[in-house]
Amino acid sequence: MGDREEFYAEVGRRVKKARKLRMLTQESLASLVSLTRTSITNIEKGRQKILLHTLDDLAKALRVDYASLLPANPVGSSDTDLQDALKGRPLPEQKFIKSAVQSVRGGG
Amino acid sequence: MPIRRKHIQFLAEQLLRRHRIRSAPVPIEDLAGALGVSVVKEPTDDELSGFLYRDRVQKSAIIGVNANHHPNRQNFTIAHELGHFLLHEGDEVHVDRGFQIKLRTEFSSKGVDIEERESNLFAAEILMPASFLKSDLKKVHALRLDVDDAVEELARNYSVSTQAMLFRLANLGYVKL
Repeated sequence: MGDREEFYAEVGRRVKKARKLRMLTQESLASLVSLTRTSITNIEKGRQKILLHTLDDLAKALRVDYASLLPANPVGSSDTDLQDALKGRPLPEQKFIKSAVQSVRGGG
Repeated sequence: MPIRRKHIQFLAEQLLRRHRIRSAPVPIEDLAGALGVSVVKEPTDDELSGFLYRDRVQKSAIIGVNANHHPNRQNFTIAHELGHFLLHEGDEVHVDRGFQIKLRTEFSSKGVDIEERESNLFAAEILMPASFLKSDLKKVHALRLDVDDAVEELARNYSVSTQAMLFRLANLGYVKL
């Protein structure tokens, strides 16, 4: 199912982002969670469907909450996603982006 | 790491050809629309140029442009963000603040972020295609290019700023800065 691919792709992007924030190479993350570098590559590309305990290991190694590695609840979640992406940005940016996105979506 | 110059030139040429755009000014907003990217203009702080938002749930993308900026600059911003959309995977939201069009030499010495340089090149290639300039410049005597008026007029015809046009002409070797 296409959406599942996107789900794992998003998990991959989140892992990659967290890894870069921690300034870890794929190699070093791999050794922290006892996987091969290839596995990390595959996870980050969304090609490997990861096990729950791997998610937990990754979150620990990356020192993040494992929920932050999971996509926001996809049921009508465009807004939650946008909120997430805007978190921590300066207010003028948030306002600019929100009003532009809302005018495209035709919502208020 | 060098930027993907050839790839970007090819991509821009291909887009122009596919959408049958054969002369300046390039309708960049329509082009974005044809690629499924909505363009929205909203007034905001002067330091913000624009943003690219990729909605992964709805699988769509939105380019936001600062409506307070000069229309020529807005065009460059749209082209720049479209460059990010086509060239870079990137984050969900990418915001650009007052980027400047700079000469290649300045780029390399300052180590400006590679994705920004690639998007700037894409913007230049799509708004001021070398082939369009070549045929338009046939009508202009080479010496006249040193006169600001000629560059200004050319910039006006391409709906870009005089500065952007000047840098483009310099990069293509038509003028020296």
